[in-house]
Amino acid sequence: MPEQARTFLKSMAFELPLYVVVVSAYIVLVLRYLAQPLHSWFASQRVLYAGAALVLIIGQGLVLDFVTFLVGRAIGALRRR
Amino acid sequence: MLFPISHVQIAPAYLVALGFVVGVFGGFFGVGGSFLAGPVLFGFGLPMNFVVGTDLAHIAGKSVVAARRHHKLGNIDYRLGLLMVIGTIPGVELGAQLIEYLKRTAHVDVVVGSCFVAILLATAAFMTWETTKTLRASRGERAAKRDLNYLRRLSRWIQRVGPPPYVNLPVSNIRRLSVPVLVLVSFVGGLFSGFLGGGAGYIRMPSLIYIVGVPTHVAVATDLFEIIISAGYGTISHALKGNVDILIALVMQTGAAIGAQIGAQLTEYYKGVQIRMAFIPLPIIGAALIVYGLLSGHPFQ
Repeated sequence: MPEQARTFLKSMAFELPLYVVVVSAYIVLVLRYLAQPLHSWFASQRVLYAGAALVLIIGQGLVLDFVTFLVGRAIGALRRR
Repeated sequence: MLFPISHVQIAPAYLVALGFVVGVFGGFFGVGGSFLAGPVLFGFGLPMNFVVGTDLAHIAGKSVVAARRHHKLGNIDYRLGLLMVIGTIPGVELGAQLIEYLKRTAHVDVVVGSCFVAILLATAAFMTWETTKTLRASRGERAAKRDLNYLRRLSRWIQRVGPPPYVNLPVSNIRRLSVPVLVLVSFVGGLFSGFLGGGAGYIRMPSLIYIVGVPTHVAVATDLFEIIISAGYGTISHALKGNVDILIALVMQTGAAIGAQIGAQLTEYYKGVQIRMAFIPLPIIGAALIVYGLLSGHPFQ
């Protein structure tokens, strides 16, 4: 494995535990509050369900990208200190 | 834990781990990762029509993350990606209609599973042959540095003979390419995407490199950009048909988001032929998993 790749993976290993905590809390919230409305839309309002599915998955992708950026920046700032 | 939409019981931690692994592969190889996620979800007990739709939804979200990272690295050929959408959307729709037909005949698991295995093994065999030839023909070192591939002559010939209109793709270093050829390549990719699920990167990424002649790094990134559009469309189409469990896709994506960023960044440290060689075992693993799933029921439950 190239040296640069190894360095990059080491820095990511520092970020992962914090990310896991954030994501675990997020999953509990999502499953708790979205399961019921999404299930009922799936059963009775398929068009609404399809639209919500796309918005949720794209939106979540952007939010998670932002979260990883913030986590990386926070860890970078801590290291510099 | 019970997911009420598909009525399947899966531990969320497994889904996050699966998403992470598929995310790394997706970011690194420019594929949606359905060659791995599809068989594993099937193994978890998800019916095959839900596997196809749910995997597409998860891939749409994950590709946003990976494509953003590739955008920052300047690897995406947007003109190429947007032109490919013209062929991809009809292909995805035709594939989704085929799934609907098979659902009515009750053979969906066997037919989709068998096609999946055949395509995966053919892709792996072809790429093994090509990378071996490339490394032998140009003594490895030079090929790696210049991102050569053994079928370069084929892509150059296709660039010369395709019917008009033509397009110039400076990001991909292609002076002239036939738009109908590009649309046909993307239509085939879309067909596999709608029929087998995922972004069909296992077909489109090799097609972009070997048929269209796009450099490996640009093919990886542009494929991801194109997957956002095709998988997004596929998500809507399959959700309307009742094939998407979006809760499963959302949980998987939490792992995939970080994995995709890692994979995308790693492409910076490897050469084209190395990326293609590393890709080869993945379709074989996917094929083995789906054969095992078809023969033995739901082995991971």
